[in-house]
Amino acid sequence: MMAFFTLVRREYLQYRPVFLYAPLILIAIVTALTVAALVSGHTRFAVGGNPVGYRVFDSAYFVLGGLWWAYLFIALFFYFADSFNSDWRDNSMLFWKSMPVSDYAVLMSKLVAGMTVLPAMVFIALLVTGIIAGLATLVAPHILPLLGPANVGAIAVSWMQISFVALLYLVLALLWYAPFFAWVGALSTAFGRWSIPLALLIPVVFSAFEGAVDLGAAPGGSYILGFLRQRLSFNFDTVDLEIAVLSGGPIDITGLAGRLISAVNWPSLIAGLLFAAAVIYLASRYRRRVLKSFA
Amino acid sequence: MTNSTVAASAQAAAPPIVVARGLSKRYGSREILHGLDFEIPAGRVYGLVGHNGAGKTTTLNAMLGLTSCEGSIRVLGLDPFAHRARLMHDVAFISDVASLPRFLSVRDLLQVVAGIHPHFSPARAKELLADSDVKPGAKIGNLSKGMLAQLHLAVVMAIEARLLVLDEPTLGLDITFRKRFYRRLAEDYMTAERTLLITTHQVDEIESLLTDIMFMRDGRLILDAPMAEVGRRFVQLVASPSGSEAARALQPVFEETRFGQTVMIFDDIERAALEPLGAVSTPSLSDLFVALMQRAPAAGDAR
Repeated sequence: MMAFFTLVRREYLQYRPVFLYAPLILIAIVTALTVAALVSGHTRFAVGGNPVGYRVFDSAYFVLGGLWWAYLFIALFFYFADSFNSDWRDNSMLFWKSMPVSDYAVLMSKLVAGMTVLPAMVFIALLVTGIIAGLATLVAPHILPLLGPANVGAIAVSWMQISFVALLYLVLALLWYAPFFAWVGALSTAFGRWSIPLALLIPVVFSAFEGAVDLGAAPGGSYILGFLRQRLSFNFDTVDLEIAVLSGGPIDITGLAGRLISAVNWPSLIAGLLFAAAVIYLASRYRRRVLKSFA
Repeated sequence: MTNSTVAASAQAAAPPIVVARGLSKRYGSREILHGLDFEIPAGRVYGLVGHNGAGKTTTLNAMLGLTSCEGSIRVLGLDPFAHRARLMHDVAFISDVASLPRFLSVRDLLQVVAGIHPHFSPARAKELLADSDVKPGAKIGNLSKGMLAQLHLAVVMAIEARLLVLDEPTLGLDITFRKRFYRRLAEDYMTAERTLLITTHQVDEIESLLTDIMFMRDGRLILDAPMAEVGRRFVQLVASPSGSEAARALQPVFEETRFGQTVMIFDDIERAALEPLGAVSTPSLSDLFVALMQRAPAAGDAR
C-alpha cells in the first residue's frame, strides 16, 4: 500500500504546477481582484432586494465554487491526457519498469491522483477564497455604504454550509465523470496528447457508422451520441442548487444533500466506474507490452 | 574447508539465476533471437557482448520481463514477463542512465524509490553519493550525463538485489567516469551472492571484472564460457616470418596483419604446438570478439 501512495505522491511531484502552483496563482488573482474592487468602489451587486452582507457573501462564494470546479474539470481533462503518457515522453519508462510495481498499479495511481489529490487541492483553494470573500464582505460595508451590515457568525455558517454542498457536489461529479477521465487517460497511454481529439472523434466515428447502418433510425440520430449526451449531463438541474443556496432563506443542508444524492443515477454511476477500471486495465496491458511510444 | 570453498560449493549447488531454453523473438517476419539456450549461475559476473543489432538488448529485455518471447526463460524461477513486478524485488537494472525521472530532485528520487522498493536503502544510496558530484537538492533534469550515471548506479547499488543487469551503462561517458563506475561496482557491490550481467561495447574496460563471457551475433550465442576456459581455449600467436605458413596450416579462426606482423587466433589448440612458431599469448577480449565475429557460424555454436 505504501508503494501505491508513493506513486500517487510522485504524480503530485510531477504535476505540482497544476496541483499546487496554479491554484496558488488563482488565489492570488482572486485576492487582488477583491482588494481592487473594494478599493476602487466599482462593485456591482446583482442580489435582489436589499444587499445584506451575508447574502452578498453567499453569491460570491457560490460563483467562486463554480469557477473552481470549472478549473478543476478542465485541468483534470488535460492531466489525464498528459500523465498517462508522461513516462514515455520523459524517457523514464525503463526506470519505472525497474521498480517492483505493476503497470496497472502505476496507471491506477495516476487515476487516483487525478481523482483525489487535485480535487482536494482545488477544494482547499475554494475554502481559502471563501475566507477571502468572507473577509471582504465584512470590510465592504465600511467602504461601500450601499451594503447592509455583515454578520461574522452568519457568514461563517454560510461558508460552512456552501463548502459542504460544494464538497458533496464535487465527490458525486467526480464519480459520475470518472469513466470519461479514464477514457481520456487510457487513450493517452497509447496515443499521447492525440487522446484529446481522439476522445471525441472515436465516439463520433462510431455513431456515424451506426447512422449508416440503421439510416438514422435511432432517436436523435444515434444511440451512442444519445447515451453520451445523457451520461454527460449530471442531472442536478432537478436539485435547483442555485435556488437552494441563493434563495435568501437559511439553507436546508440535510434536505439539499438528500436531493443531491437521490438525483444520482447510481446504477449508471457504478457501471461508469466499472468501465473506468476496465479501460485502465486495458491501458496497463498496452503499457506492459510496449516499451516505446510514438506520442 | 575454507570459506571460499564453502561459498563455491554453495554456488554450485544453488539453482541458476537465469535459465533460457529455445528463447526466440520475432518482430513481424524478422527473427531477432534464434532459439537461445543458456544458464547464468549465481555469484557470477557475465559480460554479454555483440555488435549493434545482435540481439543483446532484446535478450536482456526478455530476462527483465520487458518483452514477451517464444521459448522459455526463467529468472529466479519466475517467468519475467508474467511476473515482472514481483521479479523486480530481487532484480535491479539500468537500461539507460538517462531514464531517471527528470522532474524529481535527487532527494525526492531517493524518497520515492524508498517508498516503492522494499529492498532499497536510502542511507546506503546517500553514502554512495557522498563522495560524488551529485548534490541532494539538485534537479535530475539539470545533471550532466556523468552525474546521471553516478546517481543511477548509486540507486541500484543501494538495492539488495540478487541480479543486477547493466545495459550499456557507460554509453557516452568519458573515460574517467567509466573507470570510476566500474571500480565502484567491483569494490562496493559485488559479493558471492550477487550476479551481475553487463553489456557494453568497451569490452576491455570490463574484462578484469568478468567471470564469464557471452558473445552474440545475429541473434545467436557464438560463445558462452567462463573466462578461465576462454584463457585456456583461445590462443593468440604473433607468428615469426618463418612460422607463418606452418601456423596457417593449424587452421586459425582469425588472421590479420598488424604493423607488418601476422597475428592469428586459434581455438582449442595446445599452446606447445604453437610456441615454436612465434610469440604465444592469450588474446584480449576485444581481439577475440573481432576474431569470432568474423568467423563463419558453425553448428553447435556457443559451446
